[in-house]
Amino acid sequence: MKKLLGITLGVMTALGGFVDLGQIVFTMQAGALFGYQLLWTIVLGTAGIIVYMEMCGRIAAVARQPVFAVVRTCLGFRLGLVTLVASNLLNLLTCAAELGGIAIVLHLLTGLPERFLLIASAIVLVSLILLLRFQWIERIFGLAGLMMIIFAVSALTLRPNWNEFAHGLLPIAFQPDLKQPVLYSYFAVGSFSALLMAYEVHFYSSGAIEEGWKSKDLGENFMVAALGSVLGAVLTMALLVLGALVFLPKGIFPDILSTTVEAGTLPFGRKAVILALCGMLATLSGAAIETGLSGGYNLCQFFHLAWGKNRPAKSVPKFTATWVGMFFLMRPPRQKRPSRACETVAGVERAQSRASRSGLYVSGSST
Amino acid sequence: MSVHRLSSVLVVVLSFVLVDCSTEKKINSDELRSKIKSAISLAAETQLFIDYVQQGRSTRHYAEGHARYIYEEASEATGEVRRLKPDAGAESAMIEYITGIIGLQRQLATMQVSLDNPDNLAVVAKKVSEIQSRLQSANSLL
Repeated sequence: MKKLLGITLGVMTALGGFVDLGQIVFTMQAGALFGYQLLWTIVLGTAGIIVYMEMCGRIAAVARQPVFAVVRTCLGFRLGLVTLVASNLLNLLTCAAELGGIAIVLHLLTGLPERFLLIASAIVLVSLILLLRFQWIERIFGLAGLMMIIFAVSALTLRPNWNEFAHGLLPIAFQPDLKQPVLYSYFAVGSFSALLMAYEVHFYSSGAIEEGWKSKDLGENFMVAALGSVLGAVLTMALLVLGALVFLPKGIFPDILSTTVEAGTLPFGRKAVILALCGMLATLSGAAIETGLSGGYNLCQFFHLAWGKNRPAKSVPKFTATWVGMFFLMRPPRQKRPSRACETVAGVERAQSRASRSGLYVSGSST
Repeated sequence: MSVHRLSSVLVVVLSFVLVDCSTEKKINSDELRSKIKSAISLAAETQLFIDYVQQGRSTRHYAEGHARYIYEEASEATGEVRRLKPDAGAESAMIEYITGIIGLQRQLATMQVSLDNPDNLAVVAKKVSEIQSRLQSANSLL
């Protein structure tokens, strides 16, 4: 049972990295544009992240060295510092994006205003990190993220074309009738690199040290890295298949998070919508926690400062201040006026009137 | 940097921003085609969503939230149309696009307040389908 629960580090790491805000939308877009033709990038990316995670976990378990201590040793101070700044900027932006995604998902679940939910979710996540031990964070968000399986069940229920699916697993050179090769390449590179997000391995390697892994845990390290990543890959493939099955035939290019929920729950009812939204909430929260904590881990490991989620916050003040800062550095956007139908119709009429005056809108031709 | 110098820099930056906001934005045929395709996609998405709601698959909060997000997508597009100036020869496609996207925004506004009314939703779906056809015709003009 303990070993089974140990897998949750890999599950949370992989779900937070594989099915975060950007990846959910981007992968469905890939399916909506190119059908199954980009499946091979997920296979390649998964193999890459398993090797990368296992390697970092091994160094953490055997040498007790986290990623950014190795970065400084191998790259030197200056180049290492550039890597640190770039990495933490990415963490900051990703954390802000995930928090925005959490606010959207909570809004779709509760109907409460997004701005309030954005601030409330940041406070709740910071409180949870402060209150819970590392192992419980990974268990809660890793296991809750499994609700995302509804997307895989939905993809299977909609009956994918398995011949095309198998063909999509072959790399670019074997893809017939490739349209828009530049756009295809963009999506191929994007899908592949999104699976190899640096914060995943920074979190995983630091987590291995937090959990006190030793040389005898190397077998578990491989199992955790492989199983977590394979689960993440299955869900990512399901998202791509849903894009191919639901959006491609209708010519829809999904570019908002809420549209993806529709595809993930199309064959089912209201309970599936709630399940999908809760799954998203867990994975986006996991990703926000990963990026937030990674910010603190990276900085402290690079400058050889005391760090550790399981240590009292007061004994690691710079670590705590950094990861808490990651959650609150980005300011929420100004509140838009709530859209009311009467206002919007009046707004449309004003726009028509302006367009009409500029000679571009033919009055009365609106449907 | 002195306060005076800083304020001068701010004034210059602000002037550039204001000038940029007030001028027309030239749009070539490829960009217009891309905008029309986005509008066609939005129309198709609206029809899929209406179908989804009519089948009773959505929760109340999800339907309201998603309807607003789609509406905001259309609003972003209509917000910029006044500034767009098409290439010579693309004016008729541009007019069709503006007509389509404004009509779509109007239907999305109606949809937001009709989520509980299947009859109104059916009317919106029909009109959106007509808008989609017009946009497809506009795309073929380019």
